This record gives sequence, C-alpha cells and structure tokens, in this order.
Amino acid sequence: MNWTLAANIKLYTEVNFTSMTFYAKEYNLTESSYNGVNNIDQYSVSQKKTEFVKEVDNTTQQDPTKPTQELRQGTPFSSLSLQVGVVYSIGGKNM
Amino acid sequence: MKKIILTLFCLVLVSGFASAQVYFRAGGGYTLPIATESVGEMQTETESYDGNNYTDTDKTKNVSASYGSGINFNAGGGFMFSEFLGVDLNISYLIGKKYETGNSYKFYNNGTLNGTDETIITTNSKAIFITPSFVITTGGAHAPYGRFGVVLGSPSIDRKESSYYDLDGTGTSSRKWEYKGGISTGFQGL
Repeated sequence: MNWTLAANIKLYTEVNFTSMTFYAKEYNLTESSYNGVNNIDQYSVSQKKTEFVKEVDNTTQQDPTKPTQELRQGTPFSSLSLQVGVVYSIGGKNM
Repeated sequence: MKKIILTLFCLVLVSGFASAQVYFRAGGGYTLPIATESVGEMQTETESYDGNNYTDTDKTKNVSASYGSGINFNAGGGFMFSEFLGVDLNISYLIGKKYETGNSYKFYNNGTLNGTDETIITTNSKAIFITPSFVITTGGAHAPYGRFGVVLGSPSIDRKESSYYDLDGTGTSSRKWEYKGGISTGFQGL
C-alpha cells in the first residue's frame, strides 16, 4: 500500500513473500588460528576447499592437492519480509 | 479463449496508457524466516559443585533456520503501463540473521565459574537479489498492489567456529569458512 506524503512522493508499506533455496558451488576455509597463531598454511587444498557436485565418485582416493567433492545440498533461503520506504513517481495517475 | 484474454490484456494496456507512470523507490525492512530447516543443535551443559554435591543440567535444542532472514535494503523502479498494470525491477541487499549452534560446558565451583569447554558455530548470510516482476493494482491513490516475479540471488554464507577451553590449561581456536558461488532462483509475491 502507498501513503501520500507529497504530490509525487509516497510512503510504501509491503509484505513480501520469497521462496528460495540456495545451492552453494563451493565451501572455502578462509581463516584458521590456534591460540591466536594463524595456522591456515597447515591445511591441504582438500581440507581448505570443497566443491559441491551432483555426483561424487567414491572409487578414487582423495588427492590432497585437489578440492574435496561433496554432494550438492540445498540451504533454505525463504522469507516473509516487511518493507517500508519512499516512492517518487513521475507522470500519470497514482499507483 | 487465448484471443479473448489477449484482447482484454491489450484493451487494459491501451485504455490506460495515457496514465503511464515511472517511479523510483528506496527502502528497507526485516525479513522473517519461513520454511525453515534444521541447521544443527545447541547443547548447553552446566555442572556445579557446592562443596558437598554435584548438580548437572544438560539441555539440547534444535536450531532451525532460513538464511533469507535478516535486515535488508532495497532500491528499484518501475513503469506502470496503465493505472492497473506495470513492470518493476528491484535490487536488494540482505544482511542475514546470525544462527548459533555448537556445545558449551561450564563448571561452577561454589558459585564461581571454574572452567569452560565450548565450541560455538555462528552462521549468517549476505546476499544481493534482483527481482524483475509484474505489478498489478486495483487503481487509485491508496489501492493495494501486488508484485509477482522471479528472484535472482547471489548469496553467500559465512560460518565461524570458535572454541575455548580452560578446564586444564587454556586453548582457543578459530576457523572461518565461506559457502559461495552459484545463482539462486526463486519467486516472489505479495
């Protein structure tokens, strides 16, 4: 709904529904420390990076110099939002 | 049937084109989580010793989340073909709500905290969404309107794990991950 503030300016109020699922492509270890000392260099590539794929080959052994592969999984991202803001309109009749 | 619908659609467009309007808007708000799923659990254990007896409380709770919740800011604009129908493009930025999982053990000796062993995992999202949509309204200055469209998102989720131990010596560790990549799609309506 819009609420008139001035000739071309209105306040809008909205209730919004969004349905969404997030499928990440990868998962990276970006920081690591133990007792305040940075130790990220101690991790192999396979420990630092994971790629999400549709199919994983379990017959091959994990190469530490390559990213780990895991099955793609969805993360919930749906929401119901309450919005408020200002609309400035040019021309025509009011929305 | 298709011809009738198309004809009516064209009539609405043509009859109202004189009242075509361009608008720009900016705002913000809060998004509540819906269609949540379990993302882990939080276990809290407290053990107390009063000089004679030990008492222990140990609780575990499920943590459900939707990472689309949090504070958001948006800006956009649209074009109303007529008093009743238009198109809209909205861009919004989300600062996601934080969710905590993990486990915490605290030991109290005669009411004084004597030791802790805990690992807390905090996850939260950030995202940019682009939402092209149709606007339908019944017309008039304060008429309710609806926007229906697809949501294209580029989200990421930060996960931070902090551990602290001081039951026998002291140790702290911290690790941070980021889930990213990919475009998420969904739909929006109001």
